[in-house]
Amino acid sequence: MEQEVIAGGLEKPRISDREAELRRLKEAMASHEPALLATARFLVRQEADARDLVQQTFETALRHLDELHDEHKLRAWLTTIAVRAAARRRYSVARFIHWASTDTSQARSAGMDDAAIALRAAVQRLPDRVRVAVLLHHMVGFSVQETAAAMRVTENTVKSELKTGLSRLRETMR
Amino acid sequence: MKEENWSDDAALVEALRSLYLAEVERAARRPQNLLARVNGQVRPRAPGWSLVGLVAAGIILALAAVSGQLGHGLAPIAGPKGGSSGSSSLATTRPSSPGESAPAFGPNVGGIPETGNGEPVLLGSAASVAFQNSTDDRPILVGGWLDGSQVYCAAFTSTWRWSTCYGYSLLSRPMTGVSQIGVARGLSDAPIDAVPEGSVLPTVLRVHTHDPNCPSGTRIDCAHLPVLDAIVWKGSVEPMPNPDSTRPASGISKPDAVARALQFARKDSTVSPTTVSAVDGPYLAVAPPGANIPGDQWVWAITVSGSFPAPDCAAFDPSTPPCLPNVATKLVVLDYATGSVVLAEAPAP
Repeated sequence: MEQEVIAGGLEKPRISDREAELRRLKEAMASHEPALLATARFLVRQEADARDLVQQTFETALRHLDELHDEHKLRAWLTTIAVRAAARRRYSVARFIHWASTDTSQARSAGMDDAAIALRAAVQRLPDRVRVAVLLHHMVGFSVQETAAAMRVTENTVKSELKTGLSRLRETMR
Repeated sequence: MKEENWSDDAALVEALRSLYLAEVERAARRPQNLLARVNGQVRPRAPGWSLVGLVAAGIILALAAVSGQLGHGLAPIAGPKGGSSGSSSLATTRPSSPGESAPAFGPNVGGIPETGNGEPVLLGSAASVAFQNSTDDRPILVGGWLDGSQVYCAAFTSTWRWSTCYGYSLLSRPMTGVSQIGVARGLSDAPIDAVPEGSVLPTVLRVHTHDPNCPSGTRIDCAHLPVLDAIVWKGSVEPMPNPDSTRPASGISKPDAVARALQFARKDSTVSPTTVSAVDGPYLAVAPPGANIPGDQWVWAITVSGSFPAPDCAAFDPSTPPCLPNVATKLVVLDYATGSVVLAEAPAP
């Protein structure tokens, strides 16, 4: 029974259509993995945590796929999930494994020069909320409104955090 | 990135954007397939399914409450909870048919018996291979650990009995992040044990492939789908071991590990390699996933810098273009106990 009529004469989509739709959405989600991983690397400090965060983001997204209203905003939606998941992690219990930092080596292996590595380190040293605001607005490209929505703060707070962020980065990079 | 005038906000913002794009590019060069890893665990709720799914789930749950047939993710299973029984037991589950004698199990190694009635108990990839190579419905013993993670299978279909999402999911080792074997319930009404989150229950199932009742004409690979015959052995619910517990009693020292890694890296580095970092731990905690290495195998992960051929050049003559420039880092992973190299990757992830 691939198709059935429910009350009111509305037709449920064919199962094969639903599967195709899901498959297409999953492919779209997978295509955002690099951007999500890049974002996650600024949200958490360790590479493994960043991968965990992206995996957790996908898991949450799959469970709440029916809440995605505008597919064109898939990337923003996924990024918002990641930001909120990262915020929750900061309050969770400390991981039992001590991670040795390899940030610099990773950055060097990515072909970054000294200025880029210094800027990356400066961003990572920003306080959490300032860093997230700078990341979402100046790096990922969210509007102030979208950034505020993702962080669940007011737009004025975002503007204030952005001002603080740029100021601190300027000081560090001077 | 060239030296910028950092007092200029526009230049700083541009530098931030470039930094982010460089990170995206780096991530794109080494795809992790993180969605694929989630896929098997979560059955997504498709857009537009909410209302229909909710009504269907309500009916299904009501039916399940009456018949006690559905597995985890939809309704708790009636029957043994598994949570508080004490010691391990051999053949704690009834034989699946009257007159059948309880199987005799071989030595219990690592928490799961190695054999049952002389037949090997297969775990993880060995079980997968056996399913794929099977040509008939002969029984196969498969072992693993049930864990307490929640599985969501909201999209209910008439073929749920042949979906592994509604069946058993056995970890190949008692820790998260390792491969899992999915077994469909088939026509069995054996309850699936509810395991508390953070705990595991070692279990051995007798399964078969080529199930004659498996619906043909669907996407289900009935020839290789493992279907439950019976639960033939259960241990007791235990807390999921801390990865620290897998650290071998003895192993190579850090200086020794570093020396071995440098010696290995020297083979293909055009400059003398130096150590960037050295850390020991369970493989999945210190090295990238994807390799066929148990996640809890204790290893040394040593990142060295040098000048190494880029991965795409390895199979070709490096002098023949196109070829990426050499990379500056390499990750060398050594077995903690023996010091042998189990993985090497350049650039280091």
